[in-house]
Amino acid sequence: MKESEKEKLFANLFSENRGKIYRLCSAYLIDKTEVDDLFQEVMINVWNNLEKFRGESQINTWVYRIAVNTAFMFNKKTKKTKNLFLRFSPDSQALKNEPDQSKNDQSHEMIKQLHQSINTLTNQDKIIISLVLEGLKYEEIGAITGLTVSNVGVKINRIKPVLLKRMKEVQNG
Amino acid sequence: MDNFKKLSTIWQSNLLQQNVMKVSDLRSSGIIDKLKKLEKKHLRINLVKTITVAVLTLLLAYNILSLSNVSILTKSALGWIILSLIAGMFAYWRMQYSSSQFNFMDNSLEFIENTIIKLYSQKQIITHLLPIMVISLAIGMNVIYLDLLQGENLTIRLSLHIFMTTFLLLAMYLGLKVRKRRFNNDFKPIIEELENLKQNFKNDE
Repeated sequence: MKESEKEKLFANLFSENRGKIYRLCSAYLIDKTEVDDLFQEVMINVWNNLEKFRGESQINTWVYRIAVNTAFMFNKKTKKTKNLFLRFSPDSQALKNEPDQSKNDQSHEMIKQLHQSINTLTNQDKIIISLVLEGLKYEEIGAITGLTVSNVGVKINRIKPVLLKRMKEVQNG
Repeated sequence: MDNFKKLSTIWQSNLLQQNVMKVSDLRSSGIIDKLKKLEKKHLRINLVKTITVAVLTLLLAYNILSLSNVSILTKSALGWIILSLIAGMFAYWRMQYSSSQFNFMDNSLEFIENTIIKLYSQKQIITHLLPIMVISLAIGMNVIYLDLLQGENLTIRLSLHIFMTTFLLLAMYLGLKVRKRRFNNDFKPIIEELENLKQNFKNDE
């Protein structure tokens, strides 16, 4: 792959996926700085592995695999390099705990509660539920995680009521 | 279910992308250049280590071979040291390469299983390679001292053997300690987390 092609592909992937990836990172971690660090690591791994993309899976599945695996490998204690992507990091209002005038307060409050509820789940469940929330199909989640479709179904059916219950608990204070 | 669909819609509405990114935006920000530098960082670190070992070996060889009447025994011991260091560096590069090549494109279950194995191989660098290299070096150096110091009295010879061997063993001990601490800080928590995740993956099977 030529350098210019690599740069173009990376820019496209970054442009199309940064919101999704950032949401996944923010489901996995709660602290804004750690989310930024993880987001950066995902993007560095996407860059480092671009030449290995063979088109055997869909590009979105490929990016998600890198994001999920990077999250699993993420070590909060390791000092990270200067945040390269800070300028382009999506601005998460819910994470920053600041009101966003452009959105209605109810949605903002729900996203905040959702983050709090997801944060109580196990790491694997956090990832699976964030993929579900992104609207991915069971087959796609299976391709990303390596679980069979029926296992994905079992896990999701177990996580959903737990998450909704936690949401209610958070809402009720 | 309806509740969940609503949650999903709200979730996806968070951090929506408004603008399309261009290559020029990323290039002008300097990110592409920094990514390229980071990509080569590990290679650079390993190259520096290899060059340092090579320079030290050459210095040792030059100093010994520039002495007059160097015997076959000393030359053989020097050869032994050089061969051990080359073999050690080769093994180090191989282990580093195989353990640093985490396959992020695998599905998570495969990734977790392979990564646990690769992270444990980092421990092998510490527990196997370093002692073997230092012991080989100590054997070679002792043989050289034994041969070169034949004319000196026993006390001086013994002192030098003990000093040199102790120095190498101490260096090995400190090296092992630092590397073990780094392993425990950097890799052990990740291995434990991956083991937990692996268990979670298996639980619902």
